[in-house]
Amino acid sequence: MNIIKTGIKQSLVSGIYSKVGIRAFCTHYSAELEWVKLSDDNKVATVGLSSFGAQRLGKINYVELPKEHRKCRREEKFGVLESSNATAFGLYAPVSGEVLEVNEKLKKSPSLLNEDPANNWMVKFKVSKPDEFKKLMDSNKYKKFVQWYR
Amino acid sequence: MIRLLRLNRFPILKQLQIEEALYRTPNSGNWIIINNGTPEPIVIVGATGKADKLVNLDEVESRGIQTMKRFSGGGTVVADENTLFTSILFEFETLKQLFPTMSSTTTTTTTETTTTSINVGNIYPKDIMNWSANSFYKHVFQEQLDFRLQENDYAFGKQKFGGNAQSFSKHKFLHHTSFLYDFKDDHMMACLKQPDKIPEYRQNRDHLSFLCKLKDRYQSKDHIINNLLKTINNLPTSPSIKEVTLEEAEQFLLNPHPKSNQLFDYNLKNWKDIINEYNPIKN
Repeated sequence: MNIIKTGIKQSLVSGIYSKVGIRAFCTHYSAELEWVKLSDDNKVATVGLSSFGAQRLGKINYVELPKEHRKCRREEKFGVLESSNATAFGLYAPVSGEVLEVNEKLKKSPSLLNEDPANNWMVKFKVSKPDEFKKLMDSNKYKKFVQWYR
Repeated sequence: MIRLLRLNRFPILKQLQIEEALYRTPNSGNWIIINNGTPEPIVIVGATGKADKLVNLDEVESRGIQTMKRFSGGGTVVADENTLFTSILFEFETLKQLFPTMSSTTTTTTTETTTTSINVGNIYPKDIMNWSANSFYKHVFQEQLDFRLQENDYAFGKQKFGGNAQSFSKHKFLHHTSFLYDFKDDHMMACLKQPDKIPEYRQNRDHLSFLCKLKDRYQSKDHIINNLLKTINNLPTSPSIKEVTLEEAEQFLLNPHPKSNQLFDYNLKNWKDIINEYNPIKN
């Protein structure tokens, strides 16, 4: 009976994963302190600032984001954040692609990145090289990466 | 080891290109750069600055003055041969070794502050700004009892004489300063607009009322440079200081790196990439 229950549970879980795609549950991170989520079909990458990145910079008072349709290579600078201490922090494309959409709310309210970085994305890219996603850190590797700083 | 690069009337545009190369190249080491003036007047805007909001572009263009945007944060300055530029580019680990008792101060409420000993990850931009004033430039300007950090500026009392800009990356920070030894009053008033966001201590004063000149307190820039060199040589734990040549610094330009310094094109009314011997057009 336990074996049957386990089997049912496993097939339910795999069913959920196959329905929405494993990557929908996976946030990856760049070494530039950005989080990245890839859509199920590997076509769209949503990029935000990690909470560690937001803490590092302090109060963010200006966000400069790219224009739509701009093409970026991986690690190419696409924007700037500036903190209230005259400090600039460059934003670098975690994967290559074309800018689909930018979060206009951040231009008027840059503090959203401090208040809730996990739920305030910055840019959505149309991904041109999905394989580059493999170069990003998963959450376990990111925890170790951040620990080095602490 | 800290590499010390001393320049004299070296174009600030090229200095910033070198600094960006050093900043963006992994393991480039620790640097202090001192440049005694830039040969031609130039307006320098911070990384997120909007040229039309900060600069009287028509006036600047008519005076034959270039406008550039640097890769670091901070405000706008009209620089010339009487501006003294200093840059500190350190790895966070080096800062921790030089100043192991440095603490990070975070303000939790308006009345409470928490001080914690530093690790690399809890050094914030404000900490570097405070460190630069309290542990470094306080010694450079020790004769001036009213030297202080006012928000992000160095001031005597409430008059600014030095503006700061910083950049943070994974392993290092850049803190650079434009010191106003002297400036042409006319350039300042004519070239720069009053910015939308101004420091509170400025209290809506115009540029000439808000700024002061180091020449009114020091007979020569050499006196200040000598104070700088003494402060560098007296850093805690006596790190080795190696004076290097421009050519050694220029080598880092050969490393591929993102280039964010830009020049304003007055015809196109837009920023454009700098094309010069440091960044030639590739065929």
